[in-house]
Amino acid sequence: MRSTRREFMKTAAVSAVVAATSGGAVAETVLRPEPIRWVKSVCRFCGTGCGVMLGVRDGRFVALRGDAKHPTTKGLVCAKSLFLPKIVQAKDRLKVPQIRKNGVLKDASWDEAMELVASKFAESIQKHGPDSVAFYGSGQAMSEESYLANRLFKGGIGTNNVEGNPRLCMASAVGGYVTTFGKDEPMGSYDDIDHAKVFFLVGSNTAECHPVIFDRILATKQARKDVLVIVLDPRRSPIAEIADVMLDPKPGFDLPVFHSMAHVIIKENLHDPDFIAKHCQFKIVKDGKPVNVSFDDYVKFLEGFTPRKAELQSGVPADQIVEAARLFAKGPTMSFWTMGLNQRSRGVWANNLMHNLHLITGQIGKPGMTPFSLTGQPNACGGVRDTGSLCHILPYGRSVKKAKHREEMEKLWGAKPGTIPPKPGLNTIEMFRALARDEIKAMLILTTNPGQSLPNASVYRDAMGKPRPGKPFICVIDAYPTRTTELADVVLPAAMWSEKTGVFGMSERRYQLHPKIIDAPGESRSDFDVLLDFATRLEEKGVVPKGYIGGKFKTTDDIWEEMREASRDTAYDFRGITRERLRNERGVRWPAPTPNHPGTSRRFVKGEDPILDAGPYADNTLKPGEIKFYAAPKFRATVWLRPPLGPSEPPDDEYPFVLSTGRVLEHWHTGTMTMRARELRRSYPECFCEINPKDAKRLGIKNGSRVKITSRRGTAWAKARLIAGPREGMIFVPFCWEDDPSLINRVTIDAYDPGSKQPEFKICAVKLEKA
Amino acid sequence: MVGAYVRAKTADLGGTRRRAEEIEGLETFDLEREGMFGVVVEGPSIDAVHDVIEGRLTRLEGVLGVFPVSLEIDDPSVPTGAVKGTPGGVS
Repeated sequence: MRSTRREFMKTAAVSAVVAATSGGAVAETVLRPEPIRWVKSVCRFCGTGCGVMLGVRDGRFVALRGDAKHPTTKGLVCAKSLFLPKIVQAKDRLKVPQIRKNGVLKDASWDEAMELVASKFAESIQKHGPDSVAFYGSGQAMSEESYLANRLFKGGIGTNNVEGNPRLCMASAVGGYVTTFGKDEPMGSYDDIDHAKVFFLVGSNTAECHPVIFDRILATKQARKDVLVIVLDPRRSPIAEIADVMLDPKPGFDLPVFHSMAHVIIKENLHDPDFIAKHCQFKIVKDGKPVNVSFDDYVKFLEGFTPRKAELQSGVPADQIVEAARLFAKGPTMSFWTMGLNQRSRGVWANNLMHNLHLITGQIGKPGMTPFSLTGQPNACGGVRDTGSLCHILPYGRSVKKAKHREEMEKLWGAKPGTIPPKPGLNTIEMFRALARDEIKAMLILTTNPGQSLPNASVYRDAMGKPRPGKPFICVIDAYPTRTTELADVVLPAAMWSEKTGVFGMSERRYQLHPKIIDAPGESRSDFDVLLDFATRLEEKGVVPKGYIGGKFKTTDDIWEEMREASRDTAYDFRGITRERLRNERGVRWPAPTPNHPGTSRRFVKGEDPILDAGPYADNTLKPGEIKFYAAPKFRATVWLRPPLGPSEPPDDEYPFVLSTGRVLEHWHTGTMTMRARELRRSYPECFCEINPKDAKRLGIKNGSRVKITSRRGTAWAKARLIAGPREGMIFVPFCWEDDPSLINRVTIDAYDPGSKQPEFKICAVKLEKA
Repeated sequence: MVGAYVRAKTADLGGTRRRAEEIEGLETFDLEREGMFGVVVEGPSIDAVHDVIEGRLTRLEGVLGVFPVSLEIDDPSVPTGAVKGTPGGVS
């Protein structure tokens, strides 16, 4: 049968949709235009980790479709992903290295650029010591790249000044998991969505930021009439449409709501005393130190959070708190949260209180019962959190503070004993503050855009780019010009994800391989190649031991072998996730200690989590299905008694509004990629400010008019969008636009959580005026 | 050309689908799933297709969400050659 190209395309489109909605059953019937080669990969955007098929023709990346065979995302992708072929081929991709000369970036050779970068770093290390240099990486770099940079800086140069943008989005979730369960990363998986009857969505605009997850929740709700959704968010984002109970607290005052739900659950005897007795301990911080208390002390503490009292503190009606608590306890309940909980000066505490609810009801480690932190980047989990590429940690759950952990990594890396400092390096905000003070003399920034994404951005933009005697040296590696490359002394052109081979680790602990399908444009190189080159030059200049990295690794496959070995005897053990498996399978969820292990859906559960079967955490006295929090002190998860503190900068007479920032469906983070698809840019051509119509009326602001948003730190302008989304007294502005008037992070606050060091992007005080 | 599926309020699935079919360049098809139907959207440019999906389909009464599954780009204007230079300058 002959058919036209149009018919081919149409058949393929219909087949893809049918396949996606029927679990992939007819995926093989897809008719494809002959010249196209389809390659299995993973999406470049958020942490959902959607499986994608990339279409290649004549050496060009020309098509993308959801991978119907993917076990968890089953052929679904969002609009952003579909435009990746255009984004990768954007006209303004960086293609040659550039060096700033007389204030202007000029094209240069790789050798000239790399020699300058290495010289500047070596000079700084020799004159001012290892802590005078820093690395700022990304949850978008490949795992192998983050691991290599971490290895170089901590074990080669000898500084813990290694950070990454997950500090801005995930650090409080890490803090929550670690302080409650002893180790980072979710214990559940997307499998739980199909079993849950109650979804508790907190501070998460799942519909726009994780649309494929939202669809799965929606599908569950459509398929089973007894599925209910509780939303806790001061802004009515699109998920409010499916909420059965909508709780909208005053921004930053949700901690009393969590405590009050716990109060109701225990008061109404809806808790699980057996689970609590077996698996929990209770703690409060006194005089700066955690102290064990009893369940009775916890119950007494919760008396301060009766629904009526919580209503006074949070603004959420008492009857709604009671209803939410009863539903939560009934379950099975799966909780999701993102930045609304994490980007807070009490982010770790908020995470703890979320876990408290699951622990006191025993809703953990069973189908449909789990707390689950969604991630915003494709590789914040696998690449930065798991590889230990932050200033206080080492790979796979190790800490720089622990001598044993430092020794283990120094031995594996072949580093000189004592090279890794025992003191954590500078966290992101402190690192950029040190840059502003010219104490950090040289910084390498990789695959991220702090010139737009840091809070209180003007200060840190000046730190990176303002000419001054002794200004620190800034090297930026990126695929596109950004608000950060414009501040750099050297810009190195990077290959995009489809132009290099590596691993992304997404929200549910699944490690997935994305293969190189096309060549990078111009002279662009992968970050991995650049880091290898950089390390070799530092070795030649004597600031890193000879042979420490140079000559050891040729490809990302080589370093993956070392990474697998680094996971041995840890709670992450993924020695069984070989490169071959990654090439053949649609990812594997760690732990997976042996090549024939299928991966783990639920951690801490005997019979599911292989860590309980062999190795240092093994316990063969347990029966299948029994839970053991093996990484927690005395194997007990902690229920925390946290004070209900509010935000760092609540509104006042001078700055009476709360500003919250976030994303929209079509754009991702600072828009570096999505703004390069004209169709996506057109969907939101300019920055907007959501204002509650009641506030707008009071201020005389009309829909579509320009507004000026001012905080104690800076000013931004946006188009007013009147919508009953934000509660009264609150405005919402996405941070995706790069033009100066819309650069909302000039306004946001750089106060941060004392535990997680994550800045409070979600709440600061502003005034709002007609522009 | 974009293939997508639409989740709609089950009570008025037929009405929602009829309203969708009135959109030019859009065809619907059956899916064996409750509360859903499939669409193929064609247009002279990706812009036009995007406008249909985001500007019209997602705003139809009864539509809960539109989830694109496949996108075919057949656009010879997509550049492949090297482009030199980048905007620069200190802020």
